[in-house]
Amino acid sequence: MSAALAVAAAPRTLARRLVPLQVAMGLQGVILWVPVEKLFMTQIGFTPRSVAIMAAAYAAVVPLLEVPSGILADRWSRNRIMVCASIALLASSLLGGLSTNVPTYIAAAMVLGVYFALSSGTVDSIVYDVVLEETGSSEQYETWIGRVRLVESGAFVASALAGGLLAGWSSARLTYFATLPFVAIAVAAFLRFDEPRLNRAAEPVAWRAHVALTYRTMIREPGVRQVMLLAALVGLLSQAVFEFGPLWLIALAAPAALFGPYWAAIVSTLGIGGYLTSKVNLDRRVTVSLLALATPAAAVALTLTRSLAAVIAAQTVLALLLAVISIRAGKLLHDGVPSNVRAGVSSGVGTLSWMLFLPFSLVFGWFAHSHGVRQAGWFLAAAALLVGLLLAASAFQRRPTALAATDLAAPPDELACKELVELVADYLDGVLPPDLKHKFQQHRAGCDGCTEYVRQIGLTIRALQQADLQLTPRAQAPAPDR
Amino acid sequence: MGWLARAAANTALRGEEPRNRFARWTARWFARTPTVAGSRFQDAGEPFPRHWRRFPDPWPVFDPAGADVQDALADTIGELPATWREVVIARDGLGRDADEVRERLGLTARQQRAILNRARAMLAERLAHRLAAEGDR
Repeated sequence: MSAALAVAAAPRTLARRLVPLQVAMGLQGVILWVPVEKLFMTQIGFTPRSVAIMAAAYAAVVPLLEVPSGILADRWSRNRIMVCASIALLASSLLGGLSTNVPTYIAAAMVLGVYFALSSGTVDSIVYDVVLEETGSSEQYETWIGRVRLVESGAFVASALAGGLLAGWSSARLTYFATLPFVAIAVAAFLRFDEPRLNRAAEPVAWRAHVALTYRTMIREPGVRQVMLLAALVGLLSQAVFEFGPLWLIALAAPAALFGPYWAAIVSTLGIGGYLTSKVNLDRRVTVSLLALATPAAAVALTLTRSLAAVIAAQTVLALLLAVISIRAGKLLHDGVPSNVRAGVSSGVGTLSWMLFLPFSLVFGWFAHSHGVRQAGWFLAAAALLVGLLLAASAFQRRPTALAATDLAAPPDELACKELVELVADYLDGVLPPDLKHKFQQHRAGCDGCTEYVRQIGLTIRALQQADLQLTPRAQAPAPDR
Repeated sequence: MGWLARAAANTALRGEEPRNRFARWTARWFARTPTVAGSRFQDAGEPFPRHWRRFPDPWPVFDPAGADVQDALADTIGELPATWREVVIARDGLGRDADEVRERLGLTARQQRAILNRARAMLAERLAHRLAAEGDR
């Protein structure tokens, strides 16, 4: 049977299972007021100073809530955290749309911060564990998170264009209310999603122990620490491009009509980056090296050029590269942490990113004010260089050869216990190539631990053979039909 | 939406198998999400990296058909992700053929074995936990 037929015939494949999640993420991305927010804010009495206060209030909420909400997602339900995030978005849009003065709008912005904190790190953890549950490995994670990001950014682009049209046709205020039905349907779609259960512990773990484990994973493991820094720096840099990128256009006196297409191009890189990630093989050193070189190169080009077209091109390329790298960094991070702390650690990256971004943006703002935006571009270039270095390091360290140099006791072409446990099913099915089969038997003969491990797997299989078990009838399997 | 999901799945499946046979197995040796918690093996700085930190505790006398074992097994099977449960019940409980299970669930041969390996490991670990807890009482 061909792969296509097998997929079509099986109701609970990976693709099927992720459809409601993709629908929900697409609907949650339809935020029609984003393109006209600044316009609306001026209408209800915001001044540059109060805009800054709003930004600060909002920036204070997100990092405070991020890690706690991630831990809650791991312990309780990631899906329900996403529902809560949608509800926060709903409340924020409603409150924003009803606002007639500065304080209520600031309150709305803080509720929006809750939405960001709840959703950060949650969706990628969900996708990772679903991929693991449906395929037994994480290899397809990049492909699938790329698809989710593609849907999300498609919604961003469409709603940016539609929001502008809607505001032009009626009023900016209406875009807030028009957002509500989309988000409400997103809640329904999340509720139809069959969430992964790998993160549920076998037995309840005390809150304190779980929090301690989450922080220990972030701080103690050198591998995790390095990848967290990479992911946080990528987050910082893309936020800087999104936040400060338009300043280049202003400095070059770009016509107002150019801002719409420019913004659409920048936002669309999130999705195109996701698509590209699923097409290129990021396990190849050459590809990663190219990414690591191109990122600082794009930032330097942005700093050196004086042409408007080149500025837009450099920013778009930079945003695109960062989108790809951020998915890669997410994969490396998830590979290094167990499922029960996944969302917590992933949210830790968000917090770290905010903590780095705040001083970065202050220094950038101060420098751009006194020396001009173009000169301040060197800060972006420096950050991009760091990202490139960390990315290159991650690619070269993970190679077996690098391992062998530091790890003489067990050269990696020798089968150790850690590898043996991955091959037990292949061994019992008799599908290992002869050389690996020989290594397996040789290791087990000399290792009491592995002898006991394989014995226990054998006993488990015997207990299963004795059990009165039945397969779930296909019709009763929770496969939502549309 | 159905055609989109199908197209997506097909593209994903096409890129799934690594290019050469040896890479298919060794790819699983390094990092990835381990089947048995990484913390149970020694790190690079310790005397025997990638070997057991502490050998698995030997199981007590074990009757696979015993009521206590079967009760514990029923509970732990219920905790598995649905696809893992399907695979392990079909292969080990009902003795079905690997290819049949693979086709029924739309998996590749490699995915089917990876899932089977993880499901058995999780069952063994949780079974040991429960039996040890009952033994203490």
